[in-house]
Amino acid sequence: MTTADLDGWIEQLKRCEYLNEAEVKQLCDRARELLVDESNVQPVSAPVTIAGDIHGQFYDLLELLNTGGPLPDVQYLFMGDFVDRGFNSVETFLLLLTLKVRWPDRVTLIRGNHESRQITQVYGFYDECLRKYGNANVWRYCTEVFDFLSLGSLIDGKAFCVHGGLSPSINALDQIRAIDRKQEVPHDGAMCDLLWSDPEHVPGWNMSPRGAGYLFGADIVAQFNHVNGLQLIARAHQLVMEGYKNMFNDTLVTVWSAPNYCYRCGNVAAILTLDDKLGRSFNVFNAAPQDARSATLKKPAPEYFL
Amino acid sequence: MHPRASRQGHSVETADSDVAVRATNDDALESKYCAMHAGYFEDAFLDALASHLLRDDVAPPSRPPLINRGTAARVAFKSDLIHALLGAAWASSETVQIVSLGAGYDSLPFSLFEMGQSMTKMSLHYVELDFAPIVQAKAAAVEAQLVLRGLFRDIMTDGESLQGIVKGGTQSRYVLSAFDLRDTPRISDVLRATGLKCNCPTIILAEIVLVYLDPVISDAVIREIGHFFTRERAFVNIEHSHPHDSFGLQMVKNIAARGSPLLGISKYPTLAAQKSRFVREGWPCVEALTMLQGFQRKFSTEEALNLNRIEHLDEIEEWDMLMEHYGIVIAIRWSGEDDITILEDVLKASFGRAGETSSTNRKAAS
Repeated sequence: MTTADLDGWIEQLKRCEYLNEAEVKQLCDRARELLVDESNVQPVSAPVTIAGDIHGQFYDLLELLNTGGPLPDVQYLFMGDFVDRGFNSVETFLLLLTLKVRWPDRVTLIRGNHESRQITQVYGFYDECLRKYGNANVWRYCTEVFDFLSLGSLIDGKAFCVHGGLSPSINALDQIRAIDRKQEVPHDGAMCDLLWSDPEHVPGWNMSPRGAGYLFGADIVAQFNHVNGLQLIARAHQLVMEGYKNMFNDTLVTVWSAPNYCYRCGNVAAILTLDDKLGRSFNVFNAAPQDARSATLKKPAPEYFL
Repeated sequence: MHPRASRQGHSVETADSDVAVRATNDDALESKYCAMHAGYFEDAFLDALASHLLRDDVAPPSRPPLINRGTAARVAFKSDLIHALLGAAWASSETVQIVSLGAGYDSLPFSLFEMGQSMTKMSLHYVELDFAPIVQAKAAAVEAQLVLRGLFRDIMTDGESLQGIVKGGTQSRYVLSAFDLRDTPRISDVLRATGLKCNCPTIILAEIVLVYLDPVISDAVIREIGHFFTRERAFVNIEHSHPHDSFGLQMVKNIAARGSPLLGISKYPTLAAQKSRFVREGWPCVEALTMLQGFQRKFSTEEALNLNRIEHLDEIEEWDMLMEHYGIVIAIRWSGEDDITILEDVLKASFGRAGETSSTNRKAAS
């Protein structure tokens, strides 16, 4: 697989045309070779542009890349939930993976709770693979890549990025580094919590309405940031209608990058750029007209109670 | 011009949107079928009613957990409200009537009749009104499907309507009759023709129906039907709400794109607007809540989490938004002085105690 091959695939995928099964296998094999060497908490140097959930909204991902600026000039970090819910999980994940393989040091992908065999069988990625390829091989190749994705990222030692949030089993980043991550997302425990938890304006740890992970309060974040010398936790996982949301005196931020989520929610999306001094700026963007169009062209999903 | 459309005096455009509105029945039925098969509730009649949706060459339909859980909530709200109102009405009369407007493929009458077979005194006269094609299809299903037909001692049908005498010792009856609600001036005649008595306690049900009508028409329906009946009466109306926030704007757009625009929603965008509407149209004792409020009253946090055993729900933020965009309106016109007490009892029986709501149950939304 040459650079020219990869550039060709990127061009093809940007037209929303997926790769064939053999190409996907090649791509996934190469991606796993790269990811296996990454840390559970992959170090990244600022400046970097951070994105939250994408959820198969392919044309909105293109909109995101337009908003953020071109690779490799701009470094990107995607905080998981690439697949499920949207119409184009296959093209979305393959494009992100090809970008990763093409510019391994300029693209960081970390795992979201939807990068899971179990969840993708409920929320659409599995069905989409079957529909597009006639068998589950591509889904299998992709889920094998999921197992190798980092659980978090640390920007200049000061900003911790994770899909969901914190875990009562984790006090120090080193404890995350010690997890054996190369497995399906477990139903409980530290690895599960990192991908499932949410911040909440209630002190301490509380039960999550999601039935996985925990709700954690400002005191937990203050303690974690203090122990680990952090200024900021950046995370995704929760739809925020304004695209991003600062909490706990700006010690934690939620970034959401799927505009008009599920073609239903009417929200805007955002990406967060940390400059070389970790100064923060948000770029808000709207849904791509193409995604809105494909949402009405296809048989409308049963999105409401009628 | 479409021949059928010209005969009915509607434009082609109206005829198309009629088809789209009728299609919402299939969508609702399919959602109920999916929620039942996902394991949220049991319904002995849905398979029979949904048989026309199933094809050997197509995989059985499925819905995401968000829609399944919300559909289960919708079914439970409706059924519990009707049960509570029936209980209150049977306290003052051995015979109670239910009129379901735009009933679609609702299975509620059949579950009520099945339950009622063990009753010896109380009887139920259940009338469903809908577009002629839906009435014909449902009548055909009732005749053809043993599980439905078996409820009745006798069935008479003339293609346009169906009348069934329910088995058992009571005088319970089921009537399925074609009526386009836009023909509002005829509503009294139609109600009379179905054998409904104006001096008998009556519950009126409109489950996501009125919102598809021009509000001038739906207002008249609410008013006229309230005037027609002179004894204890109640109105349950479920429809979309809150069109003006980001989610609501998108909802209005998406549903309009299906060809079935929510014609009534901008005139009645809030629960308060719904309540004043019912007051204005002759129903002074009225309460309204969103489906989210209903759910939070009915299910504790723990019970809601237990639903994850049926299906894991990951769409937490969307769940709140979607459920906030449906309103349930309950209006009571009983004797007058006790109406508020009766309304409160009905709400309590259907949703649990008021005041048990938010603080504990509510997912402290971020």
